[in-house]
Amino acid sequence: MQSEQHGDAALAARIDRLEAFRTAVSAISSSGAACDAGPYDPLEATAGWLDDGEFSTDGSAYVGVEAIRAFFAGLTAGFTLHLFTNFELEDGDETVVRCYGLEAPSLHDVAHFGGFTHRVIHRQQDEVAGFVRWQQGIHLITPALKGWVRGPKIADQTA
Amino acid sequence: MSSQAQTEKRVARLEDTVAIANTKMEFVRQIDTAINNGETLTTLPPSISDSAIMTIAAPLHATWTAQEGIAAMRHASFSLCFLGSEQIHLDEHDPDLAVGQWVSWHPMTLGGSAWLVAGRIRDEFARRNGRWQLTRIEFTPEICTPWQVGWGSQRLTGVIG
Repeated sequence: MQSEQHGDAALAARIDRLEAFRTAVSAISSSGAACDAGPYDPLEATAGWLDDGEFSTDGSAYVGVEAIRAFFAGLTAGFTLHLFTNFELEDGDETVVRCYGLEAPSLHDVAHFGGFTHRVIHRQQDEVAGFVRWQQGIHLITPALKGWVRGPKIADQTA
Repeated sequence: MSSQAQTEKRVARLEDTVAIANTKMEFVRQIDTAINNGETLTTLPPSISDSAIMTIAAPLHATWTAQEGIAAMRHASFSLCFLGSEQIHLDEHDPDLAVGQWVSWHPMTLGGSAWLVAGRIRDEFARRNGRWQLTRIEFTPEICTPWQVGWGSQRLTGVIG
């Protein structure tokens, strides 16, 4: 009987981990759609965050959802389309997901292509699930027709 | 088979699909990271078997060992291989074999020029000592063209050789 209960608990823990991974993947994908709204409506873009979350992007860190909202409020684009790919679940107790981000923003009416890498920690905290840490690496934000060799490798998305 | 055992089996199959996708994404990430950091991979990542084969279909035609395929990456100075449209099929008869398929969208810098390489990937996987590994990578190019030119008029241009 005890062994059966232990087996049930172990199986439930494995299912919990699969569900947590799928929840995190959905949350990351939803955050892309949320960024496309506006684009970068600060409230929409931070809807999936826990209050004490931390977002870092190429050396700059924003701690707390208010700081993250201010970051998104500073971004400008006429149009964005975020696509997340290459989802990878890290080993460990936490739900840590790595992925790539492909972006097609229009900046000052010029089509751009963006390439990003992400490492995201998604957590169930009390009754709420959300992002606690999101580390973003920017590889490209470049005019789509010039490419990243002739054009700038990372265009300014705050101007 | 008991209900508990059947549930165990279903959960194990779901875990396998995650582990197989992890294997592919880790392989791609380690190669991209090495290229983007200007590093050369001197040993094969653990995600690929020593005896793995890589093939590139017509019209680019190439067949490489894993070592040759990794070495070919020295031509790239930038790489981000986006993989989507994932399909993972576990073998019906052998629990240690699987096939994974993806569509790739792969911006690269080759010889100082921006290129887009995109197409269809079919990979074979085997579980050895409890770990899934790539045993075969098949790439069918759909787009291979300098980025500045775009893919409107000519979708496939020679890049190997």
